[in-house]
Amino acid sequence: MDQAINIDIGTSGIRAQLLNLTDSSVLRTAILSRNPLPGANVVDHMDFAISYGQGIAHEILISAINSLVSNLKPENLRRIAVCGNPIQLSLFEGIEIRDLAFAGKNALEKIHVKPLERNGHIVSGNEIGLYADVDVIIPPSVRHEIGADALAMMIKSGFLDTPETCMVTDYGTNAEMALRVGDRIYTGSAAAGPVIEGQQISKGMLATPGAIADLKLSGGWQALVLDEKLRLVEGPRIDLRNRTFKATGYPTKGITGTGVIALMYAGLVTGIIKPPHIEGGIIRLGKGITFTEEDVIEAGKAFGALRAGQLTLMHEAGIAYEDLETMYICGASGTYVDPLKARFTGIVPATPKRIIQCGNTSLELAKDLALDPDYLSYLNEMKKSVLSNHVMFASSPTFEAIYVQEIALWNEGMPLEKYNSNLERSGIQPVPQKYHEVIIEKKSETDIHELGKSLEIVESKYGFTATIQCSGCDTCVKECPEEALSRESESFKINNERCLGTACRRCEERCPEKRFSISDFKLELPESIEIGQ
Amino acid sequence: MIRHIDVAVQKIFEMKEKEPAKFKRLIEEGIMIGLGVDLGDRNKQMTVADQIKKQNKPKDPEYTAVAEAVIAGDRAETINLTVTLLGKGKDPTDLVLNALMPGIQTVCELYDMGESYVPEILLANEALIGGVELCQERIGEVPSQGKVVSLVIEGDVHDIGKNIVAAILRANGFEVVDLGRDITVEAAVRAVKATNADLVTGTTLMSTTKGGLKDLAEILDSEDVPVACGGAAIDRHFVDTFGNSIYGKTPLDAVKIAKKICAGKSWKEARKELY
Repeated sequence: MDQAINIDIGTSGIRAQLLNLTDSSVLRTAILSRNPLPGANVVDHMDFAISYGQGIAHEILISAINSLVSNLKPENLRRIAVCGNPIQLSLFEGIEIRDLAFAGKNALEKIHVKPLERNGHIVSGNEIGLYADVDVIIPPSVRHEIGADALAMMIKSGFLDTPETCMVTDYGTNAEMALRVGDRIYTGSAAAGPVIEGQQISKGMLATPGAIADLKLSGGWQALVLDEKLRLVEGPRIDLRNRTFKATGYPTKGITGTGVIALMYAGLVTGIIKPPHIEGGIIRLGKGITFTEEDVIEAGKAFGALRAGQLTLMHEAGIAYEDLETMYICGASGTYVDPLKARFTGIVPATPKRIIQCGNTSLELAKDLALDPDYLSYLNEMKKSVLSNHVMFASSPTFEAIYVQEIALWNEGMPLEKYNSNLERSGIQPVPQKYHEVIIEKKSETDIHELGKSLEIVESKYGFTATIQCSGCDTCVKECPEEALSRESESFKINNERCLGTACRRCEERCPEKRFSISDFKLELPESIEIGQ
Repeated sequence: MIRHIDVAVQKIFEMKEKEPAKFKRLIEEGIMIGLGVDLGDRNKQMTVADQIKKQNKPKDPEYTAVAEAVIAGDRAETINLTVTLLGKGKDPTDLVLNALMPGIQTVCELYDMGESYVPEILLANEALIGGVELCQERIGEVPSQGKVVSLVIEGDVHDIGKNIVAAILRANGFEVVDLGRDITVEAAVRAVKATNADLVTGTTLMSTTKGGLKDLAEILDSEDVPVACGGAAIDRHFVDTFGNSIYGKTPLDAVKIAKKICAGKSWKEARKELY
């Protein structure tokens, strides 16, 4: 039986599947629940690669993918196809990334780096360091902010198949979005931050077993938790009056991005959360799982960037919000979120008549490519047609006018009435405060459409190690906000998946003896793994 | 009895005609009391905001109108009124200090109390700049607390944070030279020398570009002009890895830093007193 592998390299995690090429079915799925590169977002990943060597970043990513591939136990492997944003795909392939690292052109001119074309192409596995020496299919990136993952979101959601005015958003750390009005497609990418994928929240986690992904409001709050098959089952009951919880149902480990949306919704409708404050300062969700006012502010920033992006696209396209017929919502968060709750928090527009939940489209596009590599030429063609109307939010005055309202709304408690009157002053339509009836459709119950016979959550077993001779005061270990650093006598280990990377470096900066240096750390690779071919 | 009601109704209609604002307020208060809302608390809060407005209100009614236009963030009206007053021969320096600045100060004080929000500061700032530019044409330099150069460092274009910092600094009486975004270290150094600035504020959102702020601070060390650093990619521990710099988390921190530096304190003293 000939087999292929499709991989979605996401900023907050990597998903891989083994496919049967004879009948196109999925045999197995394996997930790495965090991206192995140090850092909380893709810019941090790039900064790590530039500061510590792109070779190291490439090696880390490739090792992680090697371990996922070996976990899938392929036989007669013919090819591997990947999908992801331009930065992850370039780090994976080991090509230039510096042209993606700066939004302004002045820094690029200084280092004489010209933007790369990044058309879709095929490389050999060995060439890029994979154990499996098969064809590796790498889809095109449209431009700096819009990658193959954005193409996937447009193609695999159905967004391109309908003549009506519609919008699509991939709810991830970098939220790609597109609006279609007739033949015109407007694209944008909002730096929502990792909150939407359950990270940068004190007890946040990816959509994996044990994660709170939704809440039911009925005489207190009932947490809904993902089980080992990623189905929603009952978890702890939360008693808000007494600020306690009852640890019943499926055991919980943390909260996902959709859990955060559900919690924010519940807090906002009941008045327990009045941004930026929580009545009582904290919400206890389970043993050791709390939601804090800092989390409210982080969530607000993400929600604000998403809504500001979507409103900007509609404003630039010159349509009334009511013209929007259908909204496609993609990604793990787009699958598990309750669309009505998402709409209440503002991250799904208030006006579409239909909301369609589409699952992980990036993994699906990689699957199409793994099954049929000739599809690559179609993607290269398509690249040209979607280039036309890209709105760079960072330099859009419309986005700025809206985003400052969002900052005030979530961080300063500005009322929505003021938000709307300020928008009107800037010549932007106010946000509707009444919701229309909406039809909700779900393309798939789980974010990964088909899991196959098994789903494995793979932990990467390697990290950075160093030997440091010091007094062993453990200031560095205690200061690490992610509990990524550990010490056994003189041997230190950084769990690179958890490490926040160059954006943090508290371990190094707070060492009272100034002996701790991140540059002393060396990557510790797992032993080589045999791959059947 | 019937006559009394008649008189009362007549009075009510008179008030509705002559003082519609008062009429509306009384009706609203009546409704609120009917709904069981305690007006005592609300009124107290209102007076705090009103008190701030009253304290900063210029004595000259023509100046009051300018201040109110700034508070409302009405750039066109602010410019109109300033043009008129300059035409009448008012002293431009006096106009800045006693008509335009009290407006932005009011907004800032309201902001400090949580009674006003960032978008309103930005609008008021736009109105203020409109008025100040007109006065500046007449007199050149406008007296200020100090001069600050604000920028987003090379490689980054995310400037919402920088715009807020610039607005709040202006509102607190500092002259701000806003260089914009994606500004190279070289261009920033040139601007600092040309304007004879006291302080630079440099921000960035992207972690890949934060090294530029370090370079800038180190080069400006010889000029004795420190760099106040902030933005999502920056934290105190990063800023502490190099000299001639002070970290600020919020826009209000920028004001605190500017006050220290413009009062002649060194970056080391500013760090010690603010951290």
